[in-house]
Amino acid sequence: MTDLLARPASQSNPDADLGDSLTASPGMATASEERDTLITLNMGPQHPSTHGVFRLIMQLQGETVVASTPVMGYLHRSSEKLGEVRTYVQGTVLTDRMDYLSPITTNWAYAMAIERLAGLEVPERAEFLRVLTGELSRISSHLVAIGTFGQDVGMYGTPLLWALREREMILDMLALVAGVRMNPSYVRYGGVARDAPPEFFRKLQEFLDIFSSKIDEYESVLTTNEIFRNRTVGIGLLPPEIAKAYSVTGPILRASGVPYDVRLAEPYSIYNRFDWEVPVRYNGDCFDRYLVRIAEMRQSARILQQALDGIPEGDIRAKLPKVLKPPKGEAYARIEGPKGEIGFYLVSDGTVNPYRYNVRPPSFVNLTCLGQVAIGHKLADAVVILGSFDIVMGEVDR
Amino acid sequence: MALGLGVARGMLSTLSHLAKKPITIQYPEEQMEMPIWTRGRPRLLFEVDTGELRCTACGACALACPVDVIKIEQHPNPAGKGKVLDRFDIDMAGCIECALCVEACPFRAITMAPDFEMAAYERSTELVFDMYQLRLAGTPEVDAGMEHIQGVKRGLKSQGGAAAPTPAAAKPAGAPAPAAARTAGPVAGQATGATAAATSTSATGNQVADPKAAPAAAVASANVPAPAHVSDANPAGPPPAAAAAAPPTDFDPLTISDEDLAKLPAADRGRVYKARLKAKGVQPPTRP
Repeated sequence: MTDLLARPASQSNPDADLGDSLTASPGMATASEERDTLITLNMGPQHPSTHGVFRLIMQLQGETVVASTPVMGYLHRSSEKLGEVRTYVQGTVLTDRMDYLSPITTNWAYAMAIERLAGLEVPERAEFLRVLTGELSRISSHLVAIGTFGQDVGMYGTPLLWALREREMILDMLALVAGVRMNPSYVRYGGVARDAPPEFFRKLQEFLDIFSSKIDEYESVLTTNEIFRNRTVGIGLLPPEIAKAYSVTGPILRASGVPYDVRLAEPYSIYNRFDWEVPVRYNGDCFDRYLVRIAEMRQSARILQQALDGIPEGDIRAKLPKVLKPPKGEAYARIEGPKGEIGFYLVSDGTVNPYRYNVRPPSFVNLTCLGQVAIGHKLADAVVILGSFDIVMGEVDR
Repeated sequence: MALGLGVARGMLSTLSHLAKKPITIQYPEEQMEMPIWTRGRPRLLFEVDTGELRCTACGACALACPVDVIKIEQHPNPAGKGKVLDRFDIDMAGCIECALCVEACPFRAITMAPDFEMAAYERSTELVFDMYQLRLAGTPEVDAGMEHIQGVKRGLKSQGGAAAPTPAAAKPAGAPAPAAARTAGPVAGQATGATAAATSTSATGNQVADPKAAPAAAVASANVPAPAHVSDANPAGPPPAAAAAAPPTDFDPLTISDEDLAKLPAADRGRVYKARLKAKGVQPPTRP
């Protein structure tokens, strides 16, 4: 494995001898060695820039991060254990509360795992509705990611409020199909919970008509903004080898030059029918992660338009027994969520509850490499790097 | 890029938005339009013509509930088959509004109404709603919303009643249908159509079942007889306190008493406060 501490010359602190600093004890520092003194800084768990109850223990030399350890678990709600004592349909409401910014994709992964377990076929219209709501969720999640990222680099208000303005339209659409704006429990095994009313399609077309110009608006205030660029270009470099070694997925991996997308690598649902691309950037810094998210929103809008034009009439749910008891066995399903690969591993023992209900949450896996990426940067940049990772603590801790 | 040009460009983009209309909704004076199938508080439906709850105390909803907030007690019917519902409580402090109870119900007896203003001082008393407070008239609009929430019905027996319109039919286009949705909810029934709410059967059910006003009215109106239309709709005899809690639909914002004001829905209260300020010569704050 490559040397994780190796940084490009421009990124590392020329004064810091990292090897010595990590072993030095703060109490032994003399006045002349004060610049070598390490300070331990606890960021979080109650900190506005940690996007939830997340704690980052950093060793600082001056303002430079020389070591950092992410501490997770403050929002642990034992969702996986709860999933084992609830029926398959009741487990859906737990998935809503994992990635609460994009609950439909987590619903979807769970539903796919049950479908593989029980051998269910999903009707055509249900697949289209899944794609429509799933891509809307992806856009809404990326909007929050970009807006809060603006907050993290010091652009208070404008990008976030503009992003929330369009997210509001998406939530209104979800309220039409699912009945609520958040925690929709919409994608169920065998299809979707309810059919979409005609207003949904009308509102979706209105949204798609304006959304491209709205992305241009975000770009006009972010991409071309030199303060934003100074804060993000070259910050938080994540080389592809390290990204792969840590199993990083999603926009973070694609910003490091690896064109891996589950929708392409292992096509599920009906994604292979649409004309779309996987956006890839090659620098692996915070700015590229932002650009990949912007580009993904444009691709999602492309998929949405095609799905909206091609949606057929028909059933929205497969024929199901009143109580689902899948045969004994195990199944793993994975889909591409807005934050990366969401995996669900279910083991059935033939009863109404899953014997094992295991989640592979993308935010959690992506967060593990934060400690390496932040090393060598200033403290303020660590906040930006964390923002560019786009974590949701509900999913990290489950 | 010349230094400062990017900043200027960003600011220009920001400034251009100053001229645009704000998209903020001034809650509670204005309220969002919510579809009738909005998943709010669970409600028990009763037949409009007989006033009897559709619930048969089968317990399917309590089994389906992932958070176990539905408490049902029943006893066998001495005068025939079936069961008699003694108690049906929903603890809204724990309800996650997932609508799995609605999907599980084989008798179209439970739905979710767009009720969301349920702030209370006491969790154990004010947030546990009983079968009288949860009553909602099963009008065609409400039934349509219930059917949309139920989605694909599994094992659903037809109830023999008039076929409820599909959500699409009940909600032809845009504005009129959300207005109907609002009258179906107890919160804003008076906000959108005061006259309609006073006369329609759906409003009768809502006034009976308005639980927010119930604690306040329990003291104030112990001696007040229930209005005639209320007892017509409820031969089973719900507590008169809940019945008398119906907020006044016709009021003058300047002369309304504080007691009546407390019973008003939030949207109307905001209107009263605004009118009082105006009478005093104080301009309500406006946005530039």
